[in-house]
Amino acid sequence: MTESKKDIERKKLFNDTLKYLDKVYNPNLRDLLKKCYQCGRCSGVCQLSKVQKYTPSRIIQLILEGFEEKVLNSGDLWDCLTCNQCLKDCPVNINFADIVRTARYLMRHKDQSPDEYVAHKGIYTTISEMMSRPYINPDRSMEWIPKGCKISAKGDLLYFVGCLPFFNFEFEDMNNIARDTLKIICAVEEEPVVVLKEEICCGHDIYWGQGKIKTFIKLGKRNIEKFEEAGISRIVTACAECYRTFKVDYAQLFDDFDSKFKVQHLIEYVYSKWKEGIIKFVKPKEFDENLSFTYHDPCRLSRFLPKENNITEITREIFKELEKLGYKFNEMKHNKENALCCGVNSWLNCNEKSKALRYKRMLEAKEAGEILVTSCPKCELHLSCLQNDIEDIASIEILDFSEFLVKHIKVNKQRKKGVRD
Amino acid sequence: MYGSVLVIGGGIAGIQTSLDLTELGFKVYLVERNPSIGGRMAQLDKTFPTNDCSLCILAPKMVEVYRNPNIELMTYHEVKDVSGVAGDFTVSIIKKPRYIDETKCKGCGDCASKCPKIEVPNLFDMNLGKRKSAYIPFPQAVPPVYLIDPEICLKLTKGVCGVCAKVCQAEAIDYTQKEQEIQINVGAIVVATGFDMPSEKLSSRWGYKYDNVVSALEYERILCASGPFGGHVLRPSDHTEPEKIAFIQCAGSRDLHEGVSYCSSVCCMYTAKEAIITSEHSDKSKCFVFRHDIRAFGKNFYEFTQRAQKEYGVKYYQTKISKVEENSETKNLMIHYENLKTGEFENFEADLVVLASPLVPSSGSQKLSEILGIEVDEYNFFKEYDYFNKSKATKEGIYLCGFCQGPMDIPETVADSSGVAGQVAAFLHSVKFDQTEEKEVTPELDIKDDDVPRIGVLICHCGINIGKYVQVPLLAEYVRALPNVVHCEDNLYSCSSDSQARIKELIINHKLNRFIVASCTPRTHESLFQETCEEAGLNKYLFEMVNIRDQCSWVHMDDIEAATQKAKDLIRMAVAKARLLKPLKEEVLKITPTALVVGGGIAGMSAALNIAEQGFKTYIVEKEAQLGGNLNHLNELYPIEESASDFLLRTIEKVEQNQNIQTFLSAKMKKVKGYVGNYIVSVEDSKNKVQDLSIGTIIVATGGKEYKPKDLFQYKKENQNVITQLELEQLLKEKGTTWLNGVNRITTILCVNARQNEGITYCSNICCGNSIKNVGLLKKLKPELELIVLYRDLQMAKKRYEDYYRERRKDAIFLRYDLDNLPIVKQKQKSPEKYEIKLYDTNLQDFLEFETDMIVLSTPIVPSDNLMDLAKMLKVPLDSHGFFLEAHVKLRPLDFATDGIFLCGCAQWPKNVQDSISQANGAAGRACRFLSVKEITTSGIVAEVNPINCIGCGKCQSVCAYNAIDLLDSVKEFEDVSLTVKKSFINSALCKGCGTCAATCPNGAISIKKYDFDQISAMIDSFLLET
Repeated sequence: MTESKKDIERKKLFNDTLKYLDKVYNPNLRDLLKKCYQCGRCSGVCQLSKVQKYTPSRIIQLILEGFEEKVLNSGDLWDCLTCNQCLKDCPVNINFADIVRTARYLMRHKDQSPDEYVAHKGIYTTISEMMSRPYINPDRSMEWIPKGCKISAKGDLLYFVGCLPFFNFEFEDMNNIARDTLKIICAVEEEPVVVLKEEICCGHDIYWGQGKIKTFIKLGKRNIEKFEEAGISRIVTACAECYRTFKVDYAQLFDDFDSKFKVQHLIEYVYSKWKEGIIKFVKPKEFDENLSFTYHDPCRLSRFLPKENNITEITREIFKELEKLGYKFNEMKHNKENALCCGVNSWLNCNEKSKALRYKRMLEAKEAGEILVTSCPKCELHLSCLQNDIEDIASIEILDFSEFLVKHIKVNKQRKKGVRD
Repeated sequence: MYGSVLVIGGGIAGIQTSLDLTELGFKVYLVERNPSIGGRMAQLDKTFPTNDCSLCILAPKMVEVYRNPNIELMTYHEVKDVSGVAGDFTVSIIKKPRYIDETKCKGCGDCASKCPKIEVPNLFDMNLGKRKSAYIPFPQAVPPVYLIDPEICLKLTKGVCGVCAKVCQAEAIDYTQKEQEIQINVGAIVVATGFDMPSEKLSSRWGYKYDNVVSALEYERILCASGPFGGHVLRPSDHTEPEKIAFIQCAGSRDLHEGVSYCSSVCCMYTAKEAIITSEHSDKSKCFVFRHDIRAFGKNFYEFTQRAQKEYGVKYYQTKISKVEENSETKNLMIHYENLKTGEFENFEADLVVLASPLVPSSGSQKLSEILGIEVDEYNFFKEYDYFNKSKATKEGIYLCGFCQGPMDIPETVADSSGVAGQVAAFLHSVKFDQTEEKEVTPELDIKDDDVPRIGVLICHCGINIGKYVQVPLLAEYVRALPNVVHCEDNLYSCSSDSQARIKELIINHKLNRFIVASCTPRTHESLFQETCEEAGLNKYLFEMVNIRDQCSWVHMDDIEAATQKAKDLIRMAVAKARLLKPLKEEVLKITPTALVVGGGIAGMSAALNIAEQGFKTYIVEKEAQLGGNLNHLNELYPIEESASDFLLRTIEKVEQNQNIQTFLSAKMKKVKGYVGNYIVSVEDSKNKVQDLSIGTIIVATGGKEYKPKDLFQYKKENQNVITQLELEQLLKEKGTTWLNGVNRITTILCVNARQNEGITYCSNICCGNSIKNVGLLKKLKPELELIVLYRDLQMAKKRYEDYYRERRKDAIFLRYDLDNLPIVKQKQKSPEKYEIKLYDTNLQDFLEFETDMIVLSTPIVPSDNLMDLAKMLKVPLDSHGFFLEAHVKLRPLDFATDGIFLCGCAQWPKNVQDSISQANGAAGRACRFLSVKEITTSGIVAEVNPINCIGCGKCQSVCAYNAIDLLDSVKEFEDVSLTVKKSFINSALCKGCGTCAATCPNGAISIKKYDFDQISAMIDSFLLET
């Protein structure tokens, strides 16, 4: 009996996925951990360990001693925040979050599922997973696009919106982030900006939280197809997770991703345009002198980026400039690479321990300023959610970088023309 | 080829190399970029494991450098450029302006005391103390020459002030000095640039920015009596005494985040030392150490860390801390850590935190490597030519020594320094003594015992250093009136060169036969004045020195009357003694230019090769039928991957081809007679024929052996699969892989019968590395093999070892146990053998049980057999573990107290091949200092036996540390009988004049020349009875 054409294609796809899998998945956990010399520092710095018993060093030693099964079966690794604090401090650079990611894949294949830990009944991860199917294309609402913003289906620069609009289903208007980001980009760009009606998920939560690496690979391949179809060469996103996923994980997975697409977070975009003289920061019409604000570094924009990435520093440079307008920028006690976690990763484990972590963060924020700026929609969501529960932190205004910046940005039209001329 | 050597860096490494090189016949240019030599060792308070005062043992060497006519001391100089090739280098050196003429400066300090009070942090005190613009880094600095800081000097920056020029009576201040460039030619270059401890580069977790967090080097200054707090342990923030002091080890070392992947190697030890010293300083302070592994890499080091805990109550936490935070009100520090013993997270509040920050190559190493055209390694240490030649740089004629090559402690540095000197001497041996100076000898005046003493006295003002606090003119008048004083005068600086001319003039004009200088300390200046006397024809033992600076002006600064009175007393006593001084003769000893090496292992062969390459006949006596010792049983060497046999064969070939080396195999030493330079050694060869050899020096390189466990962990004759590490080496070497059939899991147990509370208490340092090497080899031979290592601490303290270990972690499962819960091994099955191991895993804090097919036991190295006989024959001591005991563990690691006998390799302490070779070169270098000179002159100050009073009790012999005393039979004839009695004889070649025998002798039969009973009584009488 000969294989049908469909079978052959399916097999080809399968083999193809396996080829990619090798690049981001090493099932030999011991190999990844072998350099550990049991100093125990990871357990000391572990952010989760402050609210529950959690000792990465012990988990590592168990795996090294051959008790991997025991570790996987215990389900303990679903608890990890993947905040990467331990990698940041490990003297031999053991990437525990990567172990967790790999282990979650293995745990999946042991018929374990994180379903009982996933918040919002798993809607969001299910939506992502659906989008990995070749025949499912979302028909995204474009209602949020502000007036005067010229968009297009094809072009050079893509604004990758991410999953924000889907959150509207449950949360307050998350569209603000998308709206203000697009406003900023469109003000700068001469040409229409690409916003895809059929944009699909970057796959971040599938990759880190769900242990479905193959699904992630499929999403990646689909995304690239869509990018190529639109003819883009630049991607700007306002989401820390999308940014890290494109910048690091896609680049690792797909050989030429780096060279084909230049990925920027909105912060980098604003920074570069400011340095080029195209953007300047101005006082808005309604301006509150001496307003103090602080900034929460998302883990994906700090500990999750290679050392040479300076996004935490340029963010501060922008804020320094804003101080000239009369603001007061204060750092929280834990900042940059040491920032506290927003308490949740990939929709997992929303419980009172997570709330305790968030509360810790919000108390630091309260100490530091009236406005808390961040640059990850999920962080914003998790932290603002707690404000419903706890009154003493409710007064803090939580804003995305885009929301905060949009009213301070003035585009220097002349300069812009000058550059074009 | 030039018979001169450039040494870069004036720390202990550079100092020792320079001193050894001059004795081997070379001129040395010692370049140091700082204003004083002494380096890091001068900054330390005490040194482990003996807790000697660091500067006290270093300063004599610094002075020796200063006084050495063949060392051109170039402090405050920097090497600018090097060209040429080995044997013929041209070097440009920049002389930085001191603004004080070093040929005129007498180090009196008048400039500094009058310098306006603008103060900046003193780098020597790790910036904790202050100094002025005119300064000397520390009181014992060598050269004792001040300098002016152009950054803050008012004269140099603003053109005002100029006070120092006004007060300097030596007229040494010169504001116009400019940088100068000097060119020299040398045959070889030694780099000894040491290390830095840049704690400010640490990441914020360690809290270095807080006031009460200090680096260990800063803490050394805090502990030091001459440090910024006068030796009181105080917190920098509020100068109160801290109650809880936390020492944090590995604060940045072994940490890729901090860019220091290696282990800094000395921190475990200095931390234990600092904790002990702190406990001794104050009852109030309690010390706590946060440690990971304890890596006490050296002789008796592990026991030292145990002593800190058991005797001094220092509490050790096995953990790595997550962070240090400050309580901004109390300025106390919170240390967040996990107690690995309990698994609990805890906070520790300390009043003061001391960080064992990483030690890195000193700043400017990179630039120097470019100037010299040599490479640096991945850690920025200077790269060695090859693993077994760690003192050679990557360019011929350039050598490396001390910490600039990799982390090491002081004894290893000193041993290496002697080794480098030995290797340079071998390389340049054709031009030995070409550029060294020989002293011209002035014919000696004939002074008879009954000549009337004619005493001259010179009293020094030392600028105002003495003159301000002692009434010198009054003193001179008083001295002039003393009996036998023919002439007395005072002057500004007795040590200046015009003063030396004046002393000679006085001796000749006044026909003086005794001379006294009353000034500073004889430690630095006596030999200068003695030389001056000799130049005037006066025997140098007719010179006497009185220290009226330290004893009078310094300690009685606030009471001029008393200081002057004390100076009068001291000089009067010296005059009383001087009347009785006799000219002493120095004996000249001929040196037989041959060496004998006991033991033909890698250490013995390396030592022999170095001596032979320096052109001396060398004998090796080896008890086995072949050369090579333990290397014959080893398989592969680490961390380089080289077959031990290949390496051994190459070395043996070199030994056999060297014309200067003669080897006796299956031989033993029967008898040793004589002393340094003149030994007769009887050697019995393989055919039982005894030969007498004339030998100049002897090197002991008898090696060590693996401890064979007795009934431990199922190690028995009938159990084939429980073997020692050395037996594993032999299997790997000889048996191929068939023996691994059916073996699926091998368990290595480290620290078997080592580091115990009783019995073998020491750590033999090399077993961890060796075991990890074998784990890697086994995994390569049979990849599916499961390997388990049971360890306590891993001693991977040397350069590259941490990385070597990190790479091999993948090959095995590492389980940690402690002494309280030793693993229990049971045999489960006889054929095929199977064992069950039960242990408490301290990392998991849980009991584990598993089966294994084979067990490899890592046991310590113990001394070779029958060392006691050899020790008795050579009259050298063994330590409590049975290894040979060196003269001083810190600064004379390769010498015995007895001149002419040296040691190296495992005879001294367990060590690996690299260190054995390095030490062997060092011992060879030390030995050749004697062989290079045809004769040596001994001191005139020796003990003397009056045979009439000697009763032959032998007490003197038993207390003599230098084996200088023999009890010999002496036949006494009487009218009716003849009687054989024992009499004590002193070998003046070996006698150091320490006086122990004289103090011990129950019959007053022994006296020390120049310090005899009459002379000392005369001084006491003078003090008590005269005014």
